[in-house]
Amino acid sequence: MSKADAMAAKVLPLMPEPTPSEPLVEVRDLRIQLRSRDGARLLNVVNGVSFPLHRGRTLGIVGESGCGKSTTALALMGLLPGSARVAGGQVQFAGENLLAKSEKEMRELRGAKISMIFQDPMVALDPLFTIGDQLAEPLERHLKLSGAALRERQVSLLQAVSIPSPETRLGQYPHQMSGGMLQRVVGAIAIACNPALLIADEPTTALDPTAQAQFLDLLARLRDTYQLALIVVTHDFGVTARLCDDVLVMYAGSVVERGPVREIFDHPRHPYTQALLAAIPQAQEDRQGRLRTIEGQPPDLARLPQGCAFAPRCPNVRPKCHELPPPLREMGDGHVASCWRAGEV
Amino acid sequence: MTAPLLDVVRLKKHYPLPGGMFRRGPGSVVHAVEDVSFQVPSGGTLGLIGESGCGKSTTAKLLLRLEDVSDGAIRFDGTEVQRATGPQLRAYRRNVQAVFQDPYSSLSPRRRIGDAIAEPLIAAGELTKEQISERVAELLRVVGLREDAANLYPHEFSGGQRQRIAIARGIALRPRLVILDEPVSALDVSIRAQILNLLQDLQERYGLSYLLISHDLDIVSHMCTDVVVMYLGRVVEAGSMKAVRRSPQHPYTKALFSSVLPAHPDRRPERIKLLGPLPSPINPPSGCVFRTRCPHAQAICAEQVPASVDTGVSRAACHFATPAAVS
Ligand SMILES: Nc1ncnc2c1ncn2[C@@H]1O[C@H](COP(=O)(O)OP(=O)(O)O)[C@@H](O)[C@H]1O
Ligand SMILES: Nc1ncnc2c1ncn2[C@@H]1O[C@H](COP(=O)(O)OP(=O)(O)O)[C@@H](O)[C@H]1O
Ligand SMILES: [Mg+2]
Ligand SMILES: [Mg+2]
Repeated sequence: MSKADAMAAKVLPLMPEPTPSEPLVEVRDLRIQLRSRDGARLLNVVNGVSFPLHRGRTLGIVGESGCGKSTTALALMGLLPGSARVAGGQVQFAGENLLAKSEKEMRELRGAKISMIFQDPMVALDPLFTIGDQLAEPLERHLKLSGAALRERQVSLLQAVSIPSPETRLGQYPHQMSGGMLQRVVGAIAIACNPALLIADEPTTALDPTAQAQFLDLLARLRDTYQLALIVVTHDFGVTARLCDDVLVMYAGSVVERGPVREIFDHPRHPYTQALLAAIPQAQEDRQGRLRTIEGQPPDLARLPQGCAFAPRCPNVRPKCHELPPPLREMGDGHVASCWRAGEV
Repeated sequence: MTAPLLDVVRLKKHYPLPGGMFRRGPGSVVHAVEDVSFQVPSGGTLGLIGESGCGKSTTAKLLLRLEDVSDGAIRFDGTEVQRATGPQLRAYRRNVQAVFQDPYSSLSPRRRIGDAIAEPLIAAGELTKEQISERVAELLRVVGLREDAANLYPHEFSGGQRQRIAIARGIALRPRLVILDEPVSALDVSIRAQILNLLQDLQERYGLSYLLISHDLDIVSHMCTDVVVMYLGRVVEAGSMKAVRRSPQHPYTKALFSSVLPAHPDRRPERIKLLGPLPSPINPPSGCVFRTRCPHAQAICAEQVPASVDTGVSRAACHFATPAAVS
C-alpha cells in the first residue's frame, strides 16, 4: 500500500461489501425519452441499455456526443431533466430499483451512496463559498458531522485526493486553484460520505494531459481503496484504456457492444466500435496517413430507423440490417455485440 | 533548405497587472510570453504545445496582431511585421488567418453562413457581388459542405460542420499561414478525424502552412512536421516532430509526453511525475523556469537562464542537455 493509499484508507471505513458475485448495480433494458428543447418532438435518447457493475470495478461508457451517455448517467443519479420520461427498464442498486424511488429517497442517496463528478468542476462548486464550506455540506447533511470531527474529515479528504497543505486550502475559494486541483476537490466532495457508486461524466475532458493523467490515477486509487463501483463516461479511448475493466459502446441510445476492455480493443465486433478505434490518431502512425472517418451522421432520435440504427452509415450493411434491429448477442467471455454480422469472421 | 515563412525572434508579452484590491506592488506583470523564438517552415505544420497558461494563445494573438508585442520581432516572408500599420498590416492579416476551438463564438447567431464567409471577402473590396457569391459557393464545396448551406444559420449545423465553416472563412482570402488554436478539441473522435483530414487536404492543395495549438499530443504528432514546447512563457524545446516525440531531450518534454494515454490497456509507459505546483507567471522562478518541478534541478538552474542547446535531436533549453557531437 502506498502512502497515499494508506492515507486514503484512514479517511473512511469501507461500506460492508455485498457478496462479491452479486453486482452492486444492474441496469436492465433502460429506456428514456426526452421532449426536444423546442417541445415539438419526442426523442428516443436511451433505447434499452443494460449492464452489470460490481464493486471495485470500472465500466467505461463511450460513444459520440448525443448518443445518450450523460442521460444514462443522470438516470442512475435520479437527476433526469423534467422533460424526460422513463419509458422502461430498471436500475437495480444494492438490491433496490432506483427508478421506483421518490425524489426524497433519491436525495438521501445522492452525494451519500451514489456520487457524480462532471466535466466542469465549477458545476459542482460555488465560486462564492470556500472549499471548506463546500466539503462540509455533504458531511453535515448526510453524516451529521460537526466541530472537530468535521474539520478532521475535511482535512483527511483533501489529503485523500492529494491536495497539499489542506488546512490552507480549506479557507480558499475556487478561483485560487487550478483546474486540475479543482477537479480533485470535486473528487473529495464526491467521496465525502463513502459512496458505493461513483459516476464520472467526462471528468478529464477539460484538463491538460498532465492533470488528466494525475486525475485518472486518483480515480483508480479511490476505486481500489474504497472498492467503488466506478462508471466513467468518456469519448476518449485513452481514458477507457487507462481505467476501465469493461467498456460499453453506445450509438443513438443503444448498446452496440459491451465487453472486457481488452476484448473491445483487440477484437471489436461491431463496425461502429471498429470505426471509432480506427479514427484515433496514433503516435506511431505516419504523418501522411489519413485518418479513418465515419461518413454521415447519427440518426434523428425522434425518427430512428426501424432496423439497426447504425445501418445508414455502416460499411458492412446488408438488406436485413435495414429491416430488423439486431439483438445483443453473446460473443463469449462477457462480450456482447448487436450486429447481424458479428458472428462472421 | 527554404527560408521559413514565419520567423519569430525573442518575442515577449508582458501584461501589467491592474492596481486595486489585489495590487502586488508597482511594476508587477504577467510574463505571458518570454523570449520566444521559433520558425514556421513554408508548407509545414508547426505544433505549439504545453500546459494551459504556458502562453500558447498569447503567442497566437501576437502573431495575429490582435495584441501588441512587448518586445521581439515577427518576420513574415522576410519582412518585419510586429509594428506594421496601414496597408502593410492589412496585407499581413490577409496572409495570416486563424481558426479557433469554438466556431460558435466566432459566428454570429443571426447571420447566415454565406454572409459570414463573405465578410472577409467584402472587407477586402476586390470582388464584385457575383464573384463573392461564387467564391463562397466554391469555399463551401472545398470544405465539404453543400452550397445551399450559405442560406442557413449557425445553429442549424453540427459542431463539425461549424468548424468546416470557420475553416472556409479562414481560407477565404487565400492566406499562406493559418493559426489553428485547439481546432478539434470540442469535437468527437470521428468528426475530429474528418476535420484533420480536411486540414491536410487543404494544406496540400493550397500549399498552406499551419501553426497548430493543441493539448492532444497524439493529434500534434499526427499533424505536425515541427514542434515547439512551451513552459511558463518560454520555449523549452524545439525541433522536428518525429525526433522530439521519439526522443525528447528536455525533462519537461519528457514528462509531458509520458502523460499521453496510450489507446490500449496493455501499453502503460512509465510516467514521469512533476514535482509541486505550476509557479505563477507573475513571479516566475529565477534561472530555469522549470527548475521548481524538475527532477534533475541543481544549484546552477536557479542562477542562470539555460541557453538553447543543439542536442542533435532538437534544441533544448536545459543546463544538462547534451550538445551534439561536432562531426
Ligand atoms: N434536457 C434535454 N432536453 C432535450 N434534449 C436533451 C436534453 N438533454 C439531452 N438531450 C438530447 O438527448 C440526446 C442525448 O444527450 P446526452 O445524454 O447528453 O448525450 P451524450 O452525453 O452521449 O453526449 C442528445 O440528442 C441531446 O441533444
Ligand atoms: N489579457 C491578459 N491579461 C493578463 N494576463 C493574461 C492575459 N491573457 C493571458 N494572460 C496570462 O498569460 C498566461 C498565458 O496565457 P495563454 O497564452 O492564454 O496560455 P495558453 O493558451 O497556453 O493556455 C496565463 O498566465 C494567462 O493568465
Ligand atoms: Mg454527455
Ligand atoms: Mg489557449
